[in-house]
Amino acid sequence: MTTTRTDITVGGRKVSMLRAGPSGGTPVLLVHGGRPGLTPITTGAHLWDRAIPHLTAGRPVIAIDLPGAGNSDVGNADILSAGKIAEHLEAVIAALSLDGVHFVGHDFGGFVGMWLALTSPAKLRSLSLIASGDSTPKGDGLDDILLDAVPNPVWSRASQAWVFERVSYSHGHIDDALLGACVTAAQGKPHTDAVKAMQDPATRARNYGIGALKGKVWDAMRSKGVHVPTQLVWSSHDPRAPREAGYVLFKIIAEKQRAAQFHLINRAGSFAFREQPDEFAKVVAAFHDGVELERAA
Amino acid sequence: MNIQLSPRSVAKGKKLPPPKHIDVGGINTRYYEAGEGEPIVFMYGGNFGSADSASSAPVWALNFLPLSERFRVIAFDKIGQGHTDNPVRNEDYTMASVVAHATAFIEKLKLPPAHLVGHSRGGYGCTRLALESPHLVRSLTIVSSGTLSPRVSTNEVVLSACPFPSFSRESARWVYEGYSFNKKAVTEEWIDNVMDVFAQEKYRVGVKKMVEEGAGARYFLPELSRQKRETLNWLREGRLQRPTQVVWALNDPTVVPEGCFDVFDMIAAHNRRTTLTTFNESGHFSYREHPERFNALLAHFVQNASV
Repeated sequence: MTTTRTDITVGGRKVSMLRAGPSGGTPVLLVHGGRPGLTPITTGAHLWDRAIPHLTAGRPVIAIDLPGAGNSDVGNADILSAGKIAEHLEAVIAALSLDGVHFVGHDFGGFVGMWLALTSPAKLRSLSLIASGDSTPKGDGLDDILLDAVPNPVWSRASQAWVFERVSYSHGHIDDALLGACVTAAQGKPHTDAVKAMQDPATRARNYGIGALKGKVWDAMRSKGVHVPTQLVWSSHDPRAPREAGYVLFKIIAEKQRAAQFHLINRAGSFAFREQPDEFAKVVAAFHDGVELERAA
Repeated sequence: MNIQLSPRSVAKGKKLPPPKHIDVGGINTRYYEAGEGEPIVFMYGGNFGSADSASSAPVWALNFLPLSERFRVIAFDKIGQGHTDNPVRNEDYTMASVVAHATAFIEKLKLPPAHLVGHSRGGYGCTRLALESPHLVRSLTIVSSGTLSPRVSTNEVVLSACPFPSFSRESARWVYEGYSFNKKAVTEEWIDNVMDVFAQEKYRVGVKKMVEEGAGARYFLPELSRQKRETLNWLREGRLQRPTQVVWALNDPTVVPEGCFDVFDMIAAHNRRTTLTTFNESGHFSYREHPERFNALLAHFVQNASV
């Protein structure tokens, strides 16, 4: 299996992605989590490297860098919000001439996917929310101390290794390939541009518009529901996305979407697709196969 | 590996192959078998002695046929159910006998270690079989098993006060609709198979023994209580050492939805390859209400567990 990096230009921005697998079939679009410039690890398409070989049996896989991550330009910093990124991904899907995709979004990527599924359901054949702590109802949560003591300098190799350990079940996946790619991304212009944008206090406080958009998400969920088959893949040991919160979101989605499934992956934290890539891919590929079988039936 | 299956519409035109019969320790046992590859053995739910409902091997028809394209699939009738002989002695109307018979059946077929798929009481039976005879088992799929849940089961609520006479089409339909999220999932073909079981003299004998002669209260339930405690303790000790998936349903009137977490946690504490799936808009029979997604899930699970 070979993975190739492709860059295209969408809306004047360079958009970078990894592609692998066969050419036929509805592609799987892997959308990473993290909010560039805020999250103390440099997330991007490279996080999926362990899962991609397990996902390419039946259909092509595209792992994208969101603006400000990996090799994808920020351009105008207005794009750094969930709603704008959803529009951006819709434009990317159109630019790639894709009829529809199986959208697989981790954490913030899942939140973007949920909004895209609510606003442009025709673009998505299915939606997989992976340990999406950013997507669930929070209520008056406790003070979040999970990453309270990130070692400085943030985004250095040691600092990122510390963060990955905090959010993982085990440290086996935190290898040279991962940390090397993260450090390279941290030195790239997209990341430094995102960091620069987040130095503006108002932009920083907006936190990618997640809080503002959530109200609209719940309203749309209540009134019309998600018109896309949706699975939620949570982990046994995820300090960022507890299973109870994922199950609550599952029941909200299940009110209006028949083809909804909730899953747990064992011995995994925030990155089940890195810690248990075979178990993760089994559940996700089975959902894609099942949704396509149902369409054909 | 690409494990695409055919959708239900393709399977619809096909019928189950003719059943086979095999002597298992003196018990004439009916089973269906098709396909090649990794063996999948299905064990349905329920138990002998029910006068309003009766599962038998064809309940798996929507799964059996599509999965037979990729795997060697086997659906058999448990002792005292379907078209398999009744237990010889009254004191053998127990889950222990069901497990012993299923074990002997798998041994008799000389199967390589098999992928067990058990529903409801069958989920308990397959789990017990995997605990007692791990050498016969390659993976385990537990579907909506109140019997294996440490929490309360609400099964008897659905089964109680059936407004129709026992052994009637109406009683069977009333019970299975009560089990289901979508009543339309209870097809005529499903009820035909129940009536086929009701029509057998030996099945009526089993009901008489369990209900009128009191084998249910004297042997079946006390033995199950003892064995269930032991089985749950074995799970908590980490004796289950095969890839396992727990498959549950959000709208099952007979199995508490959140009970899936209890079962998952007991197993996952000791077993890396444990996953949980809960289906929405599904009652007790997720494999009949959502066969396409159930089959795809099972195909990937079996494939992954075979590597």
